[in-house]
Order: sequence, then C-alpha cells, then structure tokens
Amino acid sequence: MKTHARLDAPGALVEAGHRRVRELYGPDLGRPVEELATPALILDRDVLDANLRFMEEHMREAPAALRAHVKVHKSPHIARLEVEHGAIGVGCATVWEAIVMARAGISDVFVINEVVGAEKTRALALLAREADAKAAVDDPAQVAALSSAAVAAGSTIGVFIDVDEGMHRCGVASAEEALIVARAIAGSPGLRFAGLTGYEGHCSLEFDEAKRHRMAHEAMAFLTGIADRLTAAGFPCPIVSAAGTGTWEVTSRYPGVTEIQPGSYATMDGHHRGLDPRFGWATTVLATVISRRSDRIVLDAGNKTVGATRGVIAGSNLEPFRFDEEHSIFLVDDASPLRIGATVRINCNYTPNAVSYFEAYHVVEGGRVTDIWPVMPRGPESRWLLDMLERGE
Amino acid sequence: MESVSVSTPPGVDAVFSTPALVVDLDVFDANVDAMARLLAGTDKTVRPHVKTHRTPELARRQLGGPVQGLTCATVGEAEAMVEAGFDDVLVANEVVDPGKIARLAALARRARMAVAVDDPEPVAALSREAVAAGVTIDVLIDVDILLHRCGVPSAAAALELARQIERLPGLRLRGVMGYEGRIRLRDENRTDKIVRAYAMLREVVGALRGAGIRIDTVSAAGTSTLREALADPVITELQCGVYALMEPELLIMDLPFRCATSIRGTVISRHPGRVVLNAGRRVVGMEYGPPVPVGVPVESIWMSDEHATIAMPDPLPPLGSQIDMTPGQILTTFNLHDHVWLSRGGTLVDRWPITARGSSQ
Repeated sequence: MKTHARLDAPGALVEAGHRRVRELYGPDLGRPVEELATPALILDRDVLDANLRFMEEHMREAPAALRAHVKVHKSPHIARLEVEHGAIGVGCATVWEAIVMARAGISDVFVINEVVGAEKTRALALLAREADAKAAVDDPAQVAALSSAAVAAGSTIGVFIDVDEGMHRCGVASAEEALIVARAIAGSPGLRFAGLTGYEGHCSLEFDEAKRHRMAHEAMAFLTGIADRLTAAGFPCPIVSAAGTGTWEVTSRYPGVTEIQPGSYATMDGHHRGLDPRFGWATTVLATVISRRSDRIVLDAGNKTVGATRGVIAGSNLEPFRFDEEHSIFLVDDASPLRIGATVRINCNYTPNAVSYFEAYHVVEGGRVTDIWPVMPRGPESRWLLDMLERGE
Repeated sequence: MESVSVSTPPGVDAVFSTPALVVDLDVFDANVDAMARLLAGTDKTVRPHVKTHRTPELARRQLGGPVQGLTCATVGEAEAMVEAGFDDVLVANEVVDPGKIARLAALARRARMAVAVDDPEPVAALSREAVAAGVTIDVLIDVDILLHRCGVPSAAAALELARQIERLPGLRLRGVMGYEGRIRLRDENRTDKIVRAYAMLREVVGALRGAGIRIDTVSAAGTSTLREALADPVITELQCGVYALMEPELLIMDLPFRCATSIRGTVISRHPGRVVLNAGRRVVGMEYGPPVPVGVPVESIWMSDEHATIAMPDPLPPLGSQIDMTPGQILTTFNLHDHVWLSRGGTLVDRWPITARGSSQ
C-alpha cells in the first residue's frame, strides 16, 4: 500500500503567481469557454482529473513509485494534483522549476538534468536546505561543483548518476564510467548518493508498440545491470528512476526499477496519444475563425501559439492545410457551419511547445472558466529565484 | 578553447544566466543603417514588423528617416508598443473579436491606428466601435495575393469593401495591403509568384482608383522579398521585420544584412565526440531548422526540449564553457524569452524586456 507524499501549503511565491494571472484574466472567470479572447491555453479539469486517476490506479499495485515530470506543463497547481494522486515527488528540467515546485509545497524535487554553473549549483544547494533536492550527474567535475556548493550552503544535495540507455545525449555509457562517478560522489562532502536515473526517450519515438516495449526492456536491462554492478562494488542504489509517458507501464513493472518519471500523462498531446491513447486531451488551444473562404477557414493560432507545425481541431476530421506563425488554415466544405467569429479547440501535437508560449492556463469545468493557473517559471530567465533564496525569502 | 569572451560590467553579470538570448548591437545598428541606405533615393518607406522581436527598445532603434511607424500582427502587440510610446501602428491582420475591436478603438485615442480588413461584418463592427470611442481608425483592404489565407480574392470584392468603408463613419480608407513576404528562397516559381502577387495588387489599386477611390498606401513585402518590392512602383510601404536581426537562411540572398542574434548555452555534459548544451527547443525556435553553433566545428546537431547535442571533433570545449548558436528563426525564438541581452564587441552591456512576449491575442 503506497503512502501519500507530503504536500505543504503553497508559499508566497506561488500564491503571488496565481494572484497575478487571476488579476490579468479576471474578467474571464465564470465565462463560457467559447467567449474567451483567443488564442488561449485551455485546461479541461475533468480530463486532467481522469488522467491523474488513471495513472494513480495503475500505479497503486506497481512495484515502482510515480514521480511526475513537471517540465511538460510547468504548473505548480497541476504538480500538486499529481502528488495528491500518488506522485511521491516531481521531476524538473531546471533548478528554477525545482524551486517553484518546492515553494508549491512539494518536498521531493529532482532536477533530472545536469546542473552546471555557479549560480545554478548555488541555487540547488540553497534549495536543499528546505527541500529534498536532487540532481543528476555524469561527470566527476559536476560532482565537485555540487559538493562545493552544498558545503558552502551547509546543505546536502541528493545525487543521481545519469545513465545513457540509448539516447546518446547526457549520461554515463557503461558500468565502469558509473563507478568512477560513484566514487567521486562517495568521496565528496555535502552529497548523498540517491541512485540511478536514465530516460529511455529514444523509445518514445517508436510508435510500433511491440518494438517500443522491446527497446524499453533492453534499456531497463542495461540500467538495472549498472545498478547491480554498482551494488556489487559497494555502492547500493536506493532508487532506480526511468521512463516517460511512452513506456511507463512496461518500465514500472521491470524488476529493479523503483521509480518512473513520466510527464505528459497529465496533459497529453498528439504525439503521446499515439504512444498511449488511454489518456485524454487535457490541454487544448482555443482559437477563433478570423477569415473564411468557401473551402477554408483561417484560425488565429499558428505555430507560434500552438507551438507545433501540426494540430487537429477537436471533435472534427477537418484537414489541416498549413500552420503559419500566427495562423492555421483548415479545409472545410461549403456547408461547414464555422463562420467568422466561431471558436474551436486545437489539439496540439506536442503540449510543451504550446505551454512555452502562454503565461497561464484557463481552467475549464462544465464549459466555464473556473480558475486561471500560472505557468511558473515562465523562463528561461529565472535567476531572480536565486536572489529570492539568498534573501532568505 | 575560447568560444565566447564574455566580460560583463558588474551589474549585468550579476543577473546573467544561460540559456540566454543575446543581440549584438553593433550588427543590429549596422543592419538598420543598411536598410536606410537601401531606401535612400526611393519614395518608399519601411514600416518595421515588430512580431520579429516584440521588444520596444529594439523597435525604437529601427525608426528614423524612411523607416516609420510599426507593423504588428496582433492587438496585444499593438497595445504593448503604444504603451511603450509609439504613436503610429498598423495591425496587419484581421481583427474580428468584439473585445479586440474595442481594444483597437481604445488604442486609437492614443495613437494613429490602422488595421487590415477583408470582410464587411468586422468593418461594420470597427465603425461602430470607432464612433463610440470618438476616434477614426484607418483601414487597409487586405488582398490575397499569394498565401490564400486572409484577404479579398478579387478586385471586385475589394471595390465592394472600399465602398462600404467610405460609407461608414469612424473609418478612413488608407489603402491596400497584401502579404507575399513568406516566400522562401527555395520556393519553386518564386519569381513568378512575386510577379503575379504584385500584378494582383496593381489590378486592385487600378480598380479602386478607377472608381474614384483614393489610395495613399500600398503596403506589402517582407525581408525576403525586399529587392523585388523596392523595384516595383506599385508598393509604397514595406512591412519588413527580420532584416534587423536576420536568419541564416536569408544570408544567401543579395541583402546587406548580417545575423545579429545568438542563443548562448553552457556545456553541461561531455562524452566522446559530443557536448550537450542547456539550450533546446524551449529557448530556440526551430521552424526554419536547427540553430547554427558559432565558433566551433560542428558535425551534427540534435535539438531536444532542454538540450542541444552537438557532435564535434576533439578537443571538446570544457564543462561550463559557453557556446553561442544562431537561431534558424528569430520570431519564434524571441517569443520564448522575457528578456534580450545586448552585447557590443563580445561584452554584455544591457538587458531589455521583450515586452510583448506572448501577446498573441
């Protein structure tokens, strides 16, 4: 039986962010979604809840724990709901996201990335004073920098060894390389060896399910094999963390994997629906028909707002003709009821791209806007978060 | 190896962190001067399109002489620019939402506003809002000359719309506009398409003038059709935007502009044959291809959400060093940042807000 992770009340930072967007979009509260100014980023609360419940139920009896990756949605409010629905903590792409999520009341925050740069290691070390803060490493030089920062701040940073399971980006490529890094961690003050992390992201590009599962198995065999070698060498791995939304079910059942780190399951998009259609479209972009010819409509949302060169109109099989920067064109027939001024929902192909272009979600329940949730940190410029920590705020 | 010499005055350095958007002001200013020189001796003007960077301080540096007024893609951009003190703005896009039309009318109290139209209903709504606000809004009839997106499809439709505009209070017909600026260099039949686009404009202008309607402005073009537009007498105003910052794809054209923009990332991981920067799709617009690393030998580059993985020969740059990349597309890149850093001679000198970031409404 899995216990719920601790969730504290959100702090001043997140409250201020929430207040700001509620003021900005105040007139939209209570409004029917079709009447909103467009383009707008819509979050369907009932679909979000269903996605979170589905994952919660399926992970309840799984041997592995659920860690929700927040980089996909960058919403402290969605992150809190993920923890309420069984996530033991969050995964982040940057130390800035981790600070925001910790201040959202989440105590276990893992920057699933290498943290390099004096201002960033300092921020992580300060964060580690108030939260269970972790980061990934694949090089003794990163270990040394994290150690100095932790000692200077008087904190302890959790460190995962990043493993390259086939993406050939970051990560150690062998048990021998992992051992070198493990020894560096063990020999450095201010650090705690947390285990291994490896993202089999190359599997999420494979839409053939059988092939994808085989690739995931190979990746996990490699990852857990390194865990075994480290354990045998005197470095037991408390946590072995992996997976994304494309492979979560297979990876969460693989012996030796103790945690999965999917992100897209909560909000979803076209790409991930192709990998796992059991989750629904919780985020969509609302757009208006601004121009109409007999055979086409033009919407006021293009690749600058939908953040992708592809998307489909929800509930229709209208064919996309072209996505420009501020417009998209869909082919219609003469009888189409979509006139100038009509609003439609666009199902994006990749939600993180769309989220990058908005500052807030319009939360919709029963067809009306019930809240406005901030995208935090909007980024990438977030060094002011370090200043906040330095001031002890 | 030394990729970028970044020495910063104390204040600026204290807040700098990668990934960051950096504009070389020397190159930017040179591009602005080069545009002024191109226009000298013509009777044409450039109305810079701010969708490119959405940064008022950069727009301010572009204006002067034959470069006048601003072009915006949305009412939100226009609001940010008027708020920043600009007093002559064209929203080169159809505005149909009642709330946005009201916002446009409100802006017309503070600045000279113009908007594109291609349909009688929004025209009527614009008139009502202009009268209610006690203002006059200029309109340009948008003509579909290439993209088959917005715009009236024929001279006859343009004439009908023009007559409606002339009948309605609160509106003044300034002229016509068309957009052919999206033609890429590798477009097949590029020359033919541009010729036909301008012929369509000429036909519409001829029909309107023939019916006794005054046309002051014929507004069109982008940086990629700058040469053609300068050579064609029908066009009076060019809506070029990207010339000031430039994109690698446009460098092979015969244009006197150089790339002024970089995304600066840090090497966070190194493995045999590659380095990984902390600058991915979250901070670089990819629509015209991946960014081009500067000052390092590159075998290939793979962009993911948070990272740029660059395959390169030894010796690899050290962990923690910074590498600049030229973005493939400026417009989507700027829209991913809140601030742009300014540099001169490799030194960071200032930071300006991208005020209209996200102003897509």
